[in-house]
Order: sequence, then structure tokens, then C-alpha cells
Amino acid sequence: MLLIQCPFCGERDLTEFSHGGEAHITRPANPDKISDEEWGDYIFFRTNPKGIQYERWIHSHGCRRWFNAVRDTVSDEFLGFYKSGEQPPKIKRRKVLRK
Amino acid sequence: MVDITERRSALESHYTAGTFGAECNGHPGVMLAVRRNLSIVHVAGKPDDQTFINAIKSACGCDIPFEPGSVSVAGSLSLIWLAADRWMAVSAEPDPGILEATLRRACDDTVAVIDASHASTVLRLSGPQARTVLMKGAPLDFHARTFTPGRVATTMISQCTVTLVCIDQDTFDLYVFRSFAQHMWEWLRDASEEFGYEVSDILSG
Ligand SMILES: [Zn+2]
Repeated sequence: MLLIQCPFCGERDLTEFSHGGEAHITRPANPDKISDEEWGDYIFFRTNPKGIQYERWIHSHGCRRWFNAVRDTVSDEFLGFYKSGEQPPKIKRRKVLRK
Repeated sequence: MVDITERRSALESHYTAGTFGAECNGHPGVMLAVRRNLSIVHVAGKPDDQTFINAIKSACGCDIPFEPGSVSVAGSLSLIWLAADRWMAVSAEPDPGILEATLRRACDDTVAVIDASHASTVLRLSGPQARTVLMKGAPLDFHARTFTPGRVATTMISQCTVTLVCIDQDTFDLYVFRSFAQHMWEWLRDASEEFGYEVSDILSG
């Protein structure tokens, strides 16, 4: 059971939530003035990091609010949760122990 | 002539009162019932707007429950938290439109008031094994010290969104979208089977 901390409802099971992709992607202010390539970048291209990712989630079977989370894409561990519009928390990459 | 304004339960053709499931010697583990003729009105407003807070207090007779997952009660009316800016007013008032009209009169046009009485089917689950039945379906912490009387949570049972209200330690109301009512009813009957269960008469209010 993977728990997600909804900033409104508290800790709930993953199955109540839907994932909304990478967070903090700003829609270009003047879509008519930018190139097709720049528009394509905005629509389709994502960072897809191996490690820490800032991403959007919605508590779809709960309060139905969007919020943001920080997740390590390698371990699936959640490192922080914050409301939309709030500054993302600074997360230090933890040292990986090697044998 | 058929009165088309008469409210019909989504479970009308599936509902049979009686005792079912495992042999329970007159002590069913679970009691199931449908609550009918409720007025259910959804309210959305700004939580920091004092005019809104006062308006709801005057219309409902209780304070807005701001704490996530909490319920305020005034007589037969409950004000149920749904989200940071959304609540559900439920009353046993059977006359359609009265609760909505009262809320609309009290609130200005920055508040959304929507009568959703026909959108949900409300099921009441009670008895010593009621909590156990819910535990089988919803991924929620149902510990008796966590999900206590006066708490509400919207979650999922068998792929359906349900709003669960804890009435007392052994009694729960389930709000489910009308079109999912039959599915939820069948799931509840199936989950209650092992304890022996009683389907009570339809509750009016
Ligand atoms: Zn939530």
C-alpha cells in the first residue's frame, strides 16, 4: 500500500489518486508568436528524470483537488507534498549507498 | 395517470426486506437500508469570506465544518465537508427545493448552491460487523479511534467513488452516485453475506 499525502485530506491510498505528469510547466504566453517546435516542446517534451521529479497529482476519488508532489522515480518514494501555487520544497539528493 | 414527479429509488426493483446470508440466529452482523427522500444540496464558497460563513450559519443553524473530514449537525440537517471549499448539506426535508431555496436566499452570488438530491443514493450500513464490511472495500483507515462519529471521507469501494459518513461507532451512511447504486448494493450484500445480514424497511429520511 503506497500512501500519498493529500495537502487537504491527509494520508490516503494511491488508488484514490491520479497522476498528472511533470509540474511547473508554463503555457507559453503568446502561442501565435512562437514556432511549431517551441509549441511542440511545451505540449510533448518532458524532463523524464531518473531520480527526483516534481509532479502533479489529483485526489480524484477524494476531494478532487490538484496538488504537487516530489517523487524519486527510481524508488517511487515520495519526498514532499505541496499545494498548487506554493513554492516547491528544496530536496537534497540523498547519497546512494554502494557496496 | 402516473405521477412522474414522484421520487423513485434507484434500488426499487432490487430491494427486498428480510434476513439473508449466513445463519445468525436472529443476530445479524450487518443491517442494510436505503435512506429515501433526503434533500442534498452542494455548496461551494470561499472559506475566508465572513459573509459566506454567516450566511451558512443562518441557513443551516450550524457552523461550516472547516476541518477536513468533519461534519456539523443541527437537528436533522448535516453539513458535510467534501473539499477545502465544498460542502454537502443533507436534510430529511422531503419537500424538493426547500433546502436549496433556503441556502440560495441566504447566500450571495459568489456562492454556488446546487440541488443534487437526485444525484445520489444514500445507503445506511449498521451493526457490529458494519465497520468490517467497509474495511473489505475501501482503502481507508477504519480504526475505531480514527474514523469516529462525525467524520467523513470520500474514497473508493469496488471502483466507485463513495462518500462515507460515520454516524456512530457501528453506523455509517454511504453516498453513491445513483447510477452506481445497484452495483454498490450488490457489493454490500455480497460483503455482508458471511456475517448474516438484515435488509431493513426503506428509511424515509
Ligand atoms: Zn484530498
